[in-house]
Formats: sequence, structure tokens, C-alpha cells
Amino acid sequence: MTNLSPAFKESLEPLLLAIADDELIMGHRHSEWTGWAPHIEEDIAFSSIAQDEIGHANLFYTLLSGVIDKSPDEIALARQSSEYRHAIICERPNRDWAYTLARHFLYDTAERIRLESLRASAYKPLADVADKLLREERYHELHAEAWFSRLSSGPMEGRHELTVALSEALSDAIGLFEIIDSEQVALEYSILPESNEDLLQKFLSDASERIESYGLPFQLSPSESEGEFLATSSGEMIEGSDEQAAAPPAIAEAEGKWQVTGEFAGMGGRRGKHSPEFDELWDDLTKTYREEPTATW
Amino acid sequence: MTYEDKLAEFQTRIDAGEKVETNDWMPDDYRLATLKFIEMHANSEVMGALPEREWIPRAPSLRRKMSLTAKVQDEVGHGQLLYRVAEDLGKTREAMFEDLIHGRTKFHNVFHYPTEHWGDVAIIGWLIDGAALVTQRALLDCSYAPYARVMKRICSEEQLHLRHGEDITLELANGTERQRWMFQDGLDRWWEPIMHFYGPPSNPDKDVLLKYRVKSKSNEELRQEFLDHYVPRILDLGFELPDNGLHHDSESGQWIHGEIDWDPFWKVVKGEGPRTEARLSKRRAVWDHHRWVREALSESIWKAA
Repeated sequence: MTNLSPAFKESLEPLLLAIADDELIMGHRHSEWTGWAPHIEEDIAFSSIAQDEIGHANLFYTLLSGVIDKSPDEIALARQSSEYRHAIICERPNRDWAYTLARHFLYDTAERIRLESLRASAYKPLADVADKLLREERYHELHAEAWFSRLSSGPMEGRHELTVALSEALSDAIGLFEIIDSEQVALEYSILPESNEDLLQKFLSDASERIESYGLPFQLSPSESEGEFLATSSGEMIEGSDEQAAAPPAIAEAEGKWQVTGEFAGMGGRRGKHSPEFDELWDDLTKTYREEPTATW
Repeated sequence: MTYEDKLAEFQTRIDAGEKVETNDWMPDDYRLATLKFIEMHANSEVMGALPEREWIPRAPSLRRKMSLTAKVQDEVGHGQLLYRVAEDLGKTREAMFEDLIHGRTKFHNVFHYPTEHWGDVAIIGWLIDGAALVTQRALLDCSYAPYARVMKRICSEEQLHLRHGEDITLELANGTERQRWMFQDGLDRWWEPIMHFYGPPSNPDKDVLLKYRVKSKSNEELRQEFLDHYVPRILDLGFELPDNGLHHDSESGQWIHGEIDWDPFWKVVKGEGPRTEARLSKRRAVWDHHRWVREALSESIWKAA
């Protein structure tokens, strides 16, 4: 790796870190179902998916370890929580099976779109890994699709649970395509063949089409898209009471182009801004490693 | 043929070492005792996943995180296989799960205890899985054929788990002071539950499972086998066993344990172990919250039929 120019390296690092951290944190959450899933066959299936994601994280950390001269475990486990660059959706607690499935569907859709694009990366080792992983990821998507098909055509309650969870997860999924540090340089070098902005367009078209094919609505949860309105003493409705109030998030399609506006709670992960739940996850993730950082395990 | 004749013929088959298949005639006490035994084994596999899985999120390396997930996944898979064998004896998996989470049926004593750190993962993987393998090997010759067949597969997977546990143990034994402390501390806490693992001394003449050759070894025989195999290995690694009465008997060549306090064991049997209620209540919460998942699954099964 020594023959890579400093600028090339500098743009490679945040990209690999973002992808690897996504995989690690998603795999970590998935593995929290091991032993607890609501169905024994699913317990087994989800454990497999978790292992795959952690294995993928390991592959990306290994690529990165050639660039920054640290071991994959050191990169994965020896950082402070604010140094992780995964999207916030990955760290959200599992909550229940409906939310888990909704996130699983959106995450694996996003991952496919990203990997398909990275196959054209000018950084050959990354293109090779992307190609290899796509084949495995197909099984994850098939798994999510089987559940979507079952729940969307099954009894009312399951369909309702999934619909609500999906609208909540969708808002956070936008954060998977947040701009990455040095993205412009990565684009110039074609390490990143397409911008995150372009990938987000592809993601929204792909996900909306497939979700609607199950007869499920592709929409943000109402509480988010409507924002908060307060009544004044005169009876007039004003938007929020705080002047700094964030604009409500919205996703809309017009003439084949998706408009994503407003403030999404799931943004910031790529800049190291995480939710309080991530502190707990980080504490678990790094606990044993931190006890004896020089030990081999 | 009278019932007594059938019974006599059945016992003759058992004594001759023949195997019983699901659709063969069997006396009620055979069916019930075998079902209860396999059901408890299945329960223990799924409950046994819980103490270990607590360390998946906190595994010290990516490799260990993946291998521990795979290992716990295998245990849940054993539960699935065993529930299927038990179902054929006349009780649905749903009913078995309901009984388990409401504390009406049992699971193995060692899975009622808490875990404190990575040292516990080594103890579970090496010593508790090792203890289980002693029992499971003795079941390969079980008179109930479907159970014996599943045990064959389980034993070969458990052999791999044992290596995983041994590997983690050796890393700790050859590691830093803190790592060695982790294993010793785990040993101090787990040794008594491990001594309880095979149950108290029993009267083989009164054991219906032995009479019907569902089991072939008594509790005491199994415990002795475990001690003779593991005590020298643990001592070789330089760890101490928390049993002042433990000694080697040069005449028999056996390791003799000191007095065992059975009170904590009986508390666990009554469902009052240190983590019994916490683990069962979380299972109940997941089970109750996800009724819609089971309904959706049974609905689609119904549609496909």
C-alpha cells in the first residue's frame, strides 16, 4: 500500500471506515437476537446473518489495516465512540421483530446498491471485496423479502406492525447515504464511483418500488413528516415554539427525482455523531478488549 | 396378547439391546419418561444459549465474536432438533415452550447461574460443554432410536465446541495475570454447579430411565468420568480447584471429590436459581410480545396446505 499517494489514502480511509463500521454495528445488533429470537428457526437464521455481517466488517477492516497500519481488531475495538462512522440506523436498538425486519430490509437494500457501485472502484482490492460480498448479501435480501411477503399477505396485526416499523426505519435509512469525509477526493480518484447523493436516489427508487410491490406504504411516520404545531393564545397555529426548531423531514418524488428535505434524526453518523444508545453498545462492544488491550484472546 | 405380555416382550427387546422407533408399541411410562427427558434436554439447549450469548456483544476480538455466535447458534440448533424428536412422542413444540417459560418444566442446573466476564465463556465452553459431552456420549446407545440418531450429530458438533472452549481456556491460561485471574475466578464460582451437573447420587434400581436403557450410566458414574478426565488437566494448567476434600486415590486411580452441598442444587430445581426468573421472564416477554409472528407463520402454513 506504500505506493498510494497521501491524498488517495486520505480519501480511502473514511470510506472504508464508514462501510466497515456499518457492517460491524449492524452485525452486533443482529447478534443480539441470538438466543432470544421469537422463533427458533429465525434464531438460527439471524445468527448466520450476524456472522456474515461481522465477517464482512472484518474484510473491510483488513483492507483498511493495510492503509493505516493497525490490526483489524485494533481498528474495530480500540476507538472512542465518537470515532465510529456508521450510520445511526445501524446502532438503533432492535426493539422488536417488526423493527428488526424493517431495518434488515432497508439496510440490505442499501448495502446491495453500495456494493454494486463499488465493483467499479478504481481501488481494485475494494472492487474485489464488493464483488465477493454481493453474492453473500443476496441471501440476506432473500431472507428479508420472504418475511415481507409473508407478513404483508398475512394477518392484520403482523402487517400493521411491519408498516409502522418500516416508516420509522425509513427515516433513519437516509443516513446510510450521508456524505463521507473527503468524498469529493474519493470521487475524483474513482475510489468511489458514484456519490452518496446519487446512490441515495437509486436506493429510494429501488426500495420504494419493492416495498410498494408488497402493497405496503412507502412513507415516513406521520409524527415526523407533519412536524409539531402548537396553538397560541389567540388560537392561531404556529410551527413549534422554539425558533431553532428543525424543519420536518420529508421525502417526495417528482419527475423521477427524489427530494429529501428537512432534518432527519438518523443523520450525523458519518461525522461521528451518535445516539445515546450507541454509548451503551460501544461499552459492550469494547468492554473485554479495553480491559487488557495488549492481550491476545 | 395381554398388556403384561406386551410389556414383557418390550423389556426383552430392551434388554437384548434393540432400539425402539417412534411408531413401535411402547409402554406409557417409557413414552412419558423419554419425552420428559428429551424435553428437558431441548429446554437446556435453548436456555443454555443465554448465559453464553451475553458475551457475544462483549467478545474481545472479531474472530471470537463470530465463533461464539456460531457456537451459540449450534446450541439453539440442537434445541430445534431435540424439540422435533420430543414432538413425535406426543407434545407440540408450542406446548413445550409454554411450559418452559412458565416454569412448569425444567432445564439444566448450570444454566440458572450468572456470568461475570470472559473467563466464564472459557468455563462454559470447556468444562460445562465437557460435562455435557460425558452425558451425551453415554446417550449414543439410548434405546429410543430417533434420540440416539440426533445424539450422534450433536456429539460431533459438541466435539468442535469443546475445542473452541479449550482454545479460549489456553489463551487465558497462557495470557496476562488478569486473564489467568479470569479463568480462576470462573472456576471458583462454577465448580459447585458443575459438581451438581449430573444430579445427586441416585438409586439405579428405581430409575426407570436406566431400566429402559434410555440412560445407561448412573449419575455417580458420569460424575466420576468427568473428574478423572478434567481434574488432572485443570491442575496441569496451574489452576486451583475450590474443593479441600478433593484427592487422588492411588488404589482406584480415581479423583475423589469432597463433600458436596446439595442445597443450592435443590433451590435451582425448585426454580429459585440466581438467574432463573430473570431469564424466564425475558423469554416470556419476547414470547408474549411476538404472538403476531407465530400467527403470521401459522397462517402462511395454513395457506400453503
